[in-house]
Amino acid sequence: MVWNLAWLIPAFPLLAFAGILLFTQRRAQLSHRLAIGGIAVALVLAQLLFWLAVTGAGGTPAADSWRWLINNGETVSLGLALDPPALVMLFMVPLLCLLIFIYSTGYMRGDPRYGRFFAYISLFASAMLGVVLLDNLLAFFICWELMGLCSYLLIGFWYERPSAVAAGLKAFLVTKVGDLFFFLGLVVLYANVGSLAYRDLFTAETLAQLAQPGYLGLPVSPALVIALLLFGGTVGKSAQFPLHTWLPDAMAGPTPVSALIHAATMVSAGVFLLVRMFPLLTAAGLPVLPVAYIGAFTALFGALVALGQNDIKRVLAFSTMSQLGYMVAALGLGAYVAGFFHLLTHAFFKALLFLSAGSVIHAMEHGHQHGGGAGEFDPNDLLAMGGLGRVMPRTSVAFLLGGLSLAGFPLLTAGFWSKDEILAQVYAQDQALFWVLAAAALLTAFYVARQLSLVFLGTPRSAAAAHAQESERSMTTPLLILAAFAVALGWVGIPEHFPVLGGLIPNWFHEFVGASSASAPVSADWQPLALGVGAGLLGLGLGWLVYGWRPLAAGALEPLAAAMRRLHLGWLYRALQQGFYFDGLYQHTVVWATQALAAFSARFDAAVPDGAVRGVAAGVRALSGAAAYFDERILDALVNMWGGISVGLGRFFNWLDLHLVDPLVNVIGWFGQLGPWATGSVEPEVPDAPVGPVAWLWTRLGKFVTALQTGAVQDYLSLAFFTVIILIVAFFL
Amino acid sequence: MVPLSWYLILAAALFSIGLYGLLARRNLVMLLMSLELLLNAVNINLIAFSRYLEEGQVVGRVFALFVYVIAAAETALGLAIMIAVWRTRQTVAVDEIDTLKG
Amino acid sequence: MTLGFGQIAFLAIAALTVAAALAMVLARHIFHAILLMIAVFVGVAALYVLLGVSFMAGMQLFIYVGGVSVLAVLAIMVTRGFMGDRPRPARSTYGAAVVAASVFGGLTWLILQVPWPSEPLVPAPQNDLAVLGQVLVSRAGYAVPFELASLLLFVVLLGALYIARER
Repeated sequence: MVWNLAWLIPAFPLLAFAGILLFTQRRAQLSHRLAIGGIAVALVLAQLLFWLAVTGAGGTPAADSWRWLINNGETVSLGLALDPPALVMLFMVPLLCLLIFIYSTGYMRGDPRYGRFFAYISLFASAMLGVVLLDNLLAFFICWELMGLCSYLLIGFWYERPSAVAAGLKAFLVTKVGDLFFFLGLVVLYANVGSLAYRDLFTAETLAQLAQPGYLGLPVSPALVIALLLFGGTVGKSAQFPLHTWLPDAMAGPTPVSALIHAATMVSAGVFLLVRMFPLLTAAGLPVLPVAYIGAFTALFGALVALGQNDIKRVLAFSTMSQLGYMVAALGLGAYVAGFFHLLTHAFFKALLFLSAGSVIHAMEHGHQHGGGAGEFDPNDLLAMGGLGRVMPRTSVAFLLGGLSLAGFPLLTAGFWSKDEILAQVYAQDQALFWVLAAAALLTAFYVARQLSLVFLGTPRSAAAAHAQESERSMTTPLLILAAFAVALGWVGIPEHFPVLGGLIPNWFHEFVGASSASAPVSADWQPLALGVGAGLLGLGLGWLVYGWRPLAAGALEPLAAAMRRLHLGWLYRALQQGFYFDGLYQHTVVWATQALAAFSARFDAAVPDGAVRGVAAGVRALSGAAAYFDERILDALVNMWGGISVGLGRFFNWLDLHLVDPLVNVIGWFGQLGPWATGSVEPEVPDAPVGPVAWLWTRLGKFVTALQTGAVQDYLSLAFFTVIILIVAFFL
Repeated sequence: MVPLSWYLILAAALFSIGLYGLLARRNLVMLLMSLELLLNAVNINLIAFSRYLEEGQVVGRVFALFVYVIAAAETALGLAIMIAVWRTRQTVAVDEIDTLKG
Repeated sequence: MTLGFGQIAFLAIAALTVAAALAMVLARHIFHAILLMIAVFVGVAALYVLLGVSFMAGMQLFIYVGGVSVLAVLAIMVTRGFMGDRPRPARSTYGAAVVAASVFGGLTWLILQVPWPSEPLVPAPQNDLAVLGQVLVSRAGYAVPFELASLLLFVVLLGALYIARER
């Protein structure tokens, strides 16, 4: 059955990982060939299966299962869930991975740990594909944690930088908090359903049973509890408020890592979890307000903070956080298809933006080296760039298209279609949230225009920017391919009610994905469309006015900062830049408390358990002291008494010997003179006198036996076994 | 199915190979490792006999478990002795540790 | 005799195990020998799985691969400088080979004399681990040897620590 090929899709990158780690780490070319080969095979298989499913040629997708855990007659099977969400992700993930892998060959050129980088990203690709394909929540969790591990390894890839190491640890620990909630959700789910496999979970009876309110006596249904706990995992992994603090710091990793993990795939896995668990959300009762509120809040929060960032990658990080908030809000309100569509388009244009940013960073570093720059230099600094549009045509086109897609430029960009659909769905459900998301859209467009203007327009504001040049083909070609997707991908999901264009081509996305789950009805109002387009264009216009019309000159103050300071809002701007001080808050509460607890535990452990051990040792020492006393005083006294008795006996025997035995011995001694003759101990008068026969025999025998005692244990062993063999032979003859 | 004699012959082969290692190598660690081979061969024998000849399969496996214990204990002690010998004599070649000679 | 799947599996694993054992006793470098020893242990564990006693296979991996092999590696790390193995005089290696070959020959001849059964007595039972555990700790079973074995391990631990301590 052709669908079993799906098992190979995560297998090839995994084999590439193992191969590189074991064999080719030192050979750069071979390592990247192995990695790219692995993901290319996965891509071919994934595309094959995707198109087979879309055209319906291969029948209903179903792959074989594998007996995984066997416990006393019960078996848990592990299989693949090849439903439409998985197939869409299968279209996207290997393609993005391949493009980013190719990009990495240019970006990471010359890095001393080049091979290991490719090993790690291959492992990551394999884990992501596992998350997408496997049909059991426990396996999902395992691959989820594997992705977290790869994220840690890759953020701290340049481990000579303490900031990178700290960022990796922070990412791991903050997402771990979310994973704890996820795990609790798994536990509650298993307690209620008895299985963690999708096919057992998504039956109508199970969902109906979970939707009954009254879990643990509270007026909530188990489905809601489980959904919220699982959502905790999403909050961690997709950097939603309040577990968002790790994402900006994660930009310390290499840019391909930021693109792959922290924009396109791993953070999307959190949203993908919600997509997969959508039936559960439905059972919990749509709209799931906590999810929607957190998503909307994060969307606005991320967009606000992005305004104050001067690091090209941090802007994109907060932007990712904000866009994920959109998706989470959409899913919380039941706009399943819209949220998932935005996931798909966002992956492409965000990866595009990150890779383009990487190209810019590379150009800045190159310019710094060749422009004779010295001292402190941050290649990511927006305020040091400028005018790069002239020297980096391909990168700037790519960045422009990605940025416009992010801002939701109407009709021509993929981001527009997906964002517009979310806005339309939200408008129909909850007006307040709509305005929040619309405001976020305006801010998004504003900071996109800001970033584009600061980087590409005007004149270079530093020596590095002045000496920058376009990046190599291995980096710019993936950019252009991604740009094509960022433009065209939206057209697979044109809603039918869209004025003029709707209905011209079928809404393939909705047909393919929407059929698999009940989602909120599509609304046909024009207001959200107009408001969304208006917000986007307004934001772009304002941003261009502030930053692009009169481009920033070298050394000048950042316009937004200057404006806010003039309005006595400088404190607000600083808060914006610092992400509203959440990092500091967490540091001084959670981190401080944990460290205090750890210190206390250390002191307690040194005092109490170790004290007990020392007490036992002291007791043993006392006991041995008592035993020694006993031995010295009592036992030795007994021995001395024996000694005295022995001396007396000895004297008696001595007398006996002197007066009885000696005369006897003297008689025998006369006969004994024969002995010395035989053994040759009679002193010979002549030096070469012949030695007695017995002595000669004895000496020969002794020499022979001594020769056997070589002292080498192996000779003794050989002799022993040889004897054994002889005995066996003798036994059987 | 696999006849019992195949398992026994395999165990005999491992035993002989371990024996060769025991008698022919100079490094003390090699000797201890060859001893492990011998004990593994014995274990295979025990398990195979238990599987093929014993109802309930208990005694053979218990015996093999105890052989594991003894093997691990003996390896640990042997390596400790080796370290002590290394400290005093700076060598672990068995044909140079011949204080019993003569 | 037709070769069924089980027999092919046995032959493959047995061949690999014996090859690894041979390579181990003939290895030049002691570290290679340790790695080959690990391979032998894994092969024996695979044989146990083939025999249906997966618990023993797990124990084999735990104790040998996880314990003894690590000990051996640590030992050669302590006695560094003696990684190689100058070959013994040919005379004594031939003697050892003769002894080993004759032991093998003798044992094989002995084995082939007896008409062993070629089928296992019962199919692998499903819940034998509980029986094994109960036998090990019941008074009518092997509780006393079990306790003695733990006592032995304790004594060996103390002895090894004492012998190998820094002076």
